[in-house]
Order: sequence, then C-alpha cells, then structure tokens
Amino acid sequence: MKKNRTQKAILATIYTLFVVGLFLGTRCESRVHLTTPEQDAQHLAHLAETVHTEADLRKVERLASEYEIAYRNSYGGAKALYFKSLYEPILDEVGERRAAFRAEEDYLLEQQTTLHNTIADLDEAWNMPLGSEAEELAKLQANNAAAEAMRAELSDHTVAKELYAEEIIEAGYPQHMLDKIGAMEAEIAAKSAEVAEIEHKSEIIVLANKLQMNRDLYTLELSEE
Amino acid sequence: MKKIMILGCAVALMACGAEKKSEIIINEQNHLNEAYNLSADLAMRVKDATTYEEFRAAADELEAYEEAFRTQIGGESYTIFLEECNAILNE
Repeated sequence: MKKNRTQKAILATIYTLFVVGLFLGTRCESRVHLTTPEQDAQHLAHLAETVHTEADLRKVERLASEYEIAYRNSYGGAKALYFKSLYEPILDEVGERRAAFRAEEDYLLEQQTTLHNTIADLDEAWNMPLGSEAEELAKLQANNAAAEAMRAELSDHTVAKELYAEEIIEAGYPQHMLDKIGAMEAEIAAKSAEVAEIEHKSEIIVLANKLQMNRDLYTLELSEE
Repeated sequence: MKKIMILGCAVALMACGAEKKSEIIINEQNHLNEAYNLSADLAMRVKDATTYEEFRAAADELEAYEEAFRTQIGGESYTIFLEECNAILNE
C-alpha cells in the first residue's frame, strides 16, 4: 500500500516536471530575453548605433525580428505591434546606413577595378609588338574607321528599336513583338560592347607607342588629317 | 625518422623566412599619410618606367601595397590609396 503511494508520488512529480518543462520550453523557444518593449527597443537602438559593417546591420535586423516573434508568442499580437512601432524607426535608420555602406562598397569596388584594369592595360601595352611609325598609324586609323562604322550601325539599330517600340505600344504589347524588341536590345548591347572593345584597342595602340617608342600617334594622326 | 624531422624543420623555417620577406607592414599610427605618400610614389614609378622590367617591378610592388592596405588598414586609407593611384595613372 505504502509502495503504491510512493509510486503515485513519483509519477505525479514526473508529470509536474514534464508540464513545467513544456511551459518553460515554449517560453525559452526564442534566444532573446524579454524585459519591456521600451527597454528592448532601447537595447536595439544601442546596438544599431555601434554597427560598422553590413553583417552587423543584419544581426540587428535579425534580433529585432526575434524580439517581435518572442513578444507575439509570449504576450500576443497587441504587445508585438507596440514593440514593432518602437523599433521600426530604428530599423529605418539601419536601412539608411546599409544603403550608405553599399554605396561605399560599390565605390571601393569601382576604384579597385579601375586600378587593376589600368595596370593590365599598361602591361598589355608594354608587351604589344610594334611596327614602324607608318604601320602603327595605319593600324590606329583602320581601327578608328572600324569603330566609326560600327557606331553608325549602332545608331541605326537604336533608331529602329525606338520606332519599333512605338509600334508595340500601338499594337497593345503583343508577345511576339515584345520578343522581337528583346532580341533587338540584345543585338544593340552586343554591338555596343564591340565598339567599346575596338575603342579600347585603339587606346592600347596609342599607349604602346607612347611607352615603347615615345611616339604620339594622336598628334601624328591629327597632322595627317 | 630523425632525418625526416630535421628536413621538416628546415622546410618550416624556410617557409617562415619566405613569408616574412614578402610581408609589408603598414604603420598603423600613420596610415593616412602613408596612403598618400606611398600611392604617389608607387604610381609615379609605374607611370615613369622606361622598360618593361621596371614597370613590372613597380606594378608588383604597388599591387603588394594595395593588398597590404586592404587587409591591414582598410577604410578611408585604403580608399585614398586607390584614388591617388588611379588619379596619377590615368591623368
């Protein structure tokens, strides 16, 4: 009889511990520890002030989202909405800072690319085999003529595309016409890239002659004209 | 076994030596000035080279300093280093 009572007591204790554990488990599901919406928003604001990288900014955003979920789970939607109203201005500020970081990163990347491309161009110019002055001038002029012809072609293509765009509007944007203008745009982009490549080649020819032979092909070209 | 250990040590020492030799240390107290001065000096050397060998040596050094500024300092000084080099090389 006594043994039976002890068994029941043990079972009741286990059951109680299980229920308490389950309750605590749901409360501790989130990694964040809630205080009050004001204090938690303040905590986020402090963190947002100290961020220096985009990764830090993402951490603040993730933490804000975890707080909001924790408020919703623990206290319901009204408190979560109240908390959201407190932290949203902070996140707006974080968003502005992220945009500034991205702009800075883009600028830095542009500067890096420019430096590496410039050194690569110089290397190419130093290694370019050169002929006589007359040959080099002829090479530059042929290259410039090819670029000019291609620019004229490109201009015709652009005008044709613009006219076709007007036709598409009048026809009510049918799919086959949209496909055709897509192809025209791709052709224009390819031609533009070709023109840029020819122009770049001209720059390398001029640079190579300047570096290796101290020749100024631009001046020679102008004097011939 | 002894021979292998000695050989291993020798290789490790050589590797350390080689690494130290190519290591560039940017002065952390004066990195802004270094960014201005080094970029101007290195870019001018690249630009004024009179042979391909001179150009390559200067360009390699410039690229090594660029990497050092990027990895050791970053931020404003690295940006200044890049901007100054680009301004001189493309003027």
